[in-house]
Amino acid sequence: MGAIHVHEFMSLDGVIDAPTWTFDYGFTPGMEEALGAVTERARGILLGRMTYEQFEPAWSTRTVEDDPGAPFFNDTTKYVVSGTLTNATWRNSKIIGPYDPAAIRSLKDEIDGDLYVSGSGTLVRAMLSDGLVDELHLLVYPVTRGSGPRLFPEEGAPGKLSLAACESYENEVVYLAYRPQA
Amino acid sequence: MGRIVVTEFVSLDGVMQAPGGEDFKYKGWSFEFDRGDEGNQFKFQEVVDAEAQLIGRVTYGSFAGAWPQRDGEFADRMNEMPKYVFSSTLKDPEWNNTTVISGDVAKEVSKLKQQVDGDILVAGSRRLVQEMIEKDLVDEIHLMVFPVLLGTGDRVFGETSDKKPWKLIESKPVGPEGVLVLTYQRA
Repeated sequence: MGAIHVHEFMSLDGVIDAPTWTFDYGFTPGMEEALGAVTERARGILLGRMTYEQFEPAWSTRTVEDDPGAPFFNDTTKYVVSGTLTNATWRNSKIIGPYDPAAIRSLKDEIDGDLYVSGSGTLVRAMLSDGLVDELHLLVYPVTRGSGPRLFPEEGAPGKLSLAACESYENEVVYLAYRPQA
Repeated sequence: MGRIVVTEFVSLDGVMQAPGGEDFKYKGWSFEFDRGDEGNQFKFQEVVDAEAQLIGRVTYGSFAGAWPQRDGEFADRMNEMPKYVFSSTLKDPEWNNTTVISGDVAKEVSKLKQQVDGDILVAGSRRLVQEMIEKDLVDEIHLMVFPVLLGTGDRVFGETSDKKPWKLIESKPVGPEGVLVLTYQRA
C-alpha cells in the first residue's frame, strides 16, 4: 500500500505542458536529488494517455548513460489511464482503462510501494478533485508563460495543503512539495 | 528612479481575489493562516521600504474604506504615504494623500517612475498589475503563497503576448502553517 506522488514541471503562472521549455534551465544536482527521493520509493508509474504516448519514444530509446532516469522509466511498470488505447507497446506497461477513482484506489492498495505520476494533466486534475493525490512535487521555473494549460483548473476542488518542502537551486528553480489535507 | 514592486496574497492555484474580506465566495481566506512573525515582518518591511503606493480603482475602494479606521505602525504608514490611484472615473479620492492618475498605463507608469525615487508598492490591483506585467513595467513581484487551493476566483497572472522571464531573489516559508514568500525581479 503506497502513496500517489505527482511531480510537475510548472511555470510561475501554473502552466504545465510538454516541458521542452524547461531544457534551457538545465537540471541541477539538487533537482536530481529531490526527484530521486520520490522515484526511489515508487514501484509503479501512473500516466495519462497523452503523456504515455510522449514518454514512450523519448524514454524507450535511452540508456542510463543518456539519462540517469532511463532505468526507472523503462523498467518500472507503467499503468496507463485510457479509454481508447488498446495496445501498449512500451515494455512493462499495462492499460488500466478509462479514469475510475475506485480502480486507482485498488491499484494503490495492490502495489507495494508508491505510484509516481508526471505530466498527465487531465488525469492529475481528476485525481486532485477526487482526493487521490497524496503529495504534489512542483518544480517551479522562473518564467511566466502567459498562456497554456494550467495544473489547477479555473473551477477546481478547494482544499488546504501542508507544505512539506521548499528548496531553491542555482538555476532559480524552486522545489515545493505539498500534501493535500483530507 | 522609481521601481514598481507588486505584492500579492495568492493561493497555490494562483487566486488573488479578495484575500482580506471583500465580496467573494471565500472572503478573507488569507486570514485563516498564521503567517507568523516572519510573515508579518515581511509585510511591514514592504511598506517601510516603499516611497509611494500605486493602486487600481477597485482595490483603492477597499483600502480607502478599511485603512483609515485602523491603528498601529503599519496602518499609520499605509495612511500617511503618498498614494496614486489609477482611475478615469474617480473624482474625489477619500483617502489621505491621494493623487488620481489616468490615461495610458505605460505612459503614466513611466512618468511615475521618473517622479518617485524609490519603491512604488502595488497591492491587489489585478487589472493594472496584469497590464503592467504585459508591458514589462513590473520590476519586482512578491507572492505570499498560502497552502490552499481555492478552485475559483481571479488569478494574478493573466494572458501575456509572450512568456516573461523572471529572476528568483528569494523563496522562504514563513510562520508555522506553510505560508511561503516568493520574490522575483524582472529578468
